[in-house]
Amino acid sequence: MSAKTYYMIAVYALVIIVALLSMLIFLPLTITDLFEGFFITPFTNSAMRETFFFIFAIFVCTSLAALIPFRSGDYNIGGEGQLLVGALTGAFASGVLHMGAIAILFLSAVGGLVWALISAILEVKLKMDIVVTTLLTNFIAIRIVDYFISYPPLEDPTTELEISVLLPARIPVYCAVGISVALLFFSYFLIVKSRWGYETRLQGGNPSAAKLAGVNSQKLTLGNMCIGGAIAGLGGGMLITGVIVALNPDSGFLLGYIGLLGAFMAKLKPHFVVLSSFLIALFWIGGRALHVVGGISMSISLFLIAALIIATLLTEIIGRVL
Amino acid sequence: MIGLISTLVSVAIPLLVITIGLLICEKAGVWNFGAEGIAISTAAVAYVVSVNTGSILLSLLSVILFSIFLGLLLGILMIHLGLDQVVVGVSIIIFGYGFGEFLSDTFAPGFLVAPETITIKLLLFEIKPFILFAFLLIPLTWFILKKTRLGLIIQSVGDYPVGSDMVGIKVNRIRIACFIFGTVIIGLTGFYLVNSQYLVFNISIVGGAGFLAIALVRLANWRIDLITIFAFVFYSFDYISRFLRMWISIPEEVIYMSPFLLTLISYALSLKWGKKTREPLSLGKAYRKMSTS
Repeated sequence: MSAKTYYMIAVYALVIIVALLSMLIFLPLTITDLFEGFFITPFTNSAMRETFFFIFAIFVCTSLAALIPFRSGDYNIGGEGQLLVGALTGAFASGVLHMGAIAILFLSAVGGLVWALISAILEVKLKMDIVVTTLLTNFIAIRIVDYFISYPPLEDPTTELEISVLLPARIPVYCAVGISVALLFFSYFLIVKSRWGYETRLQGGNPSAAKLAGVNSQKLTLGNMCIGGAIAGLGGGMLITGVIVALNPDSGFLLGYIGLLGAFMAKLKPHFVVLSSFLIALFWIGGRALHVVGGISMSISLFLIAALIIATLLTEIIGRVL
Repeated sequence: MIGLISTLVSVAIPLLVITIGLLICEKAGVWNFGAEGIAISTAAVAYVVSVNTGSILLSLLSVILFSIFLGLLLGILMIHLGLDQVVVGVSIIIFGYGFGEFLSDTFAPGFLVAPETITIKLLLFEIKPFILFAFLLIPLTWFILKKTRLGLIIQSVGDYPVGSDMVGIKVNRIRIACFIFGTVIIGLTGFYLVNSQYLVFNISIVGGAGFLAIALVRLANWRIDLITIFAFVFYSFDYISRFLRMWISIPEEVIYMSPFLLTLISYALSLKWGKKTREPLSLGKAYRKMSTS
């Protein structure tokens, strides 16, 4: 490893330590609580361990969903909406059509793909800023989910709460992790080893050179957005078959946005997504464990993830200086 | 009718003010993608300070100071150090949600009501001082951007930073100053939402206005007059839909979706049939001073 890599690891370690120490100073917590919350409970409590690995798999999906279009210069901020639409189509397959897990995951991926395709077409045909369209479609997705769970057949008639009917299909946690690892390999080969990946990287790195070389940028935008959307939708499928038992509009709250930062933390390299997703999932679940152990607000997870982001930004600055 | 107008104004004002804040940042060439996060975190600051001290003045002061701090920090990261403006923006959105919920859960737990700002009697209306501020901000922003030397400088650093630098304009200083000013304006929306509109805090208090504003600036082609019109039109559609619900069955979810859907459709149509874009030419591109040696 180069000196630059050591510096970056040191910065991450430093920021995480500072974030944890500041929690000790400002919150009624002890070192034991922190250690138990972050390193013991998520792995010894079987329910939490399972959730941790599902969340890890979902973060891998949302990170890759942002990373692949990013490499061709398309900012896919819509991971949140694509995940949610994927969860919705999966919920139909599970709660209404009573399909099996494989069909549910497939339909979730299709849902995410179609949702991403809308933004991609608007970008390609009308030159609409993809950042703006993906942002707006995120909100529209939330309301669409809200609509479908408020009316039959997806509405739960037994409660006044805004949730769908029970979604019975479950997948084992090793399946979710296995799918996410397969997606990591797929993304690595797609971006690093394939001709498509070469054109994608050329388009993202130097659009003028890509144009001169005859790269079809519209094809890349459409293709990468569809792949990203399908992967985010698959994450939505994992959400409804592993983490939650009924869908509501807040089900995927911030998972898509955090995934985008996971991609950035991984320096837009598919193989580093495994590390960034693991760290984010650890902080995500660690915050919930601290809520159980020390009665702290669960929002501490987001606070800690923000600390991770600061570390990422610092490493970016160090990377430029060195 | 007066009641309807004043309700519409009070609902549309946060979107209008956030969009003006964004416009100022973008005119100087900087994306303020994290407007939603900024407004949520300042709303949390306003809520915690006002319920704990009972003072609206302290709430306002703390919101301004916190916004300056955020603006300076983000400005240094994006403008001075040249970090990706979209990524920093998304970071601040997540920070806003986490910080807002954490702050209110830790320092103002339970259902506490924040003190309300006074109202001013103006002709037929009783209006909040913030609404007056918002209406003053519209001509003021227009005047500064269109009729003053400062406005010309702001637009030149947004369009041609290299040329501006060559004539002696401190490009990054102007950009940071505009970014801080824009952030303070966006931050004040948080104060308005807590101390004038809802008097309580929850993390969905901004309701996506920060995201909608990003689209609205583009839809209005960076023009303050169109920003004002669209901000009211989109929320009036929301109200018309509610009115129509007395006769036609319109699902509530469709009404909530309507500002976002309308913005998306109008943005698409404006690009298809609209005039030439006035987007600042160097928007989102960090400027590094050229070496003179």
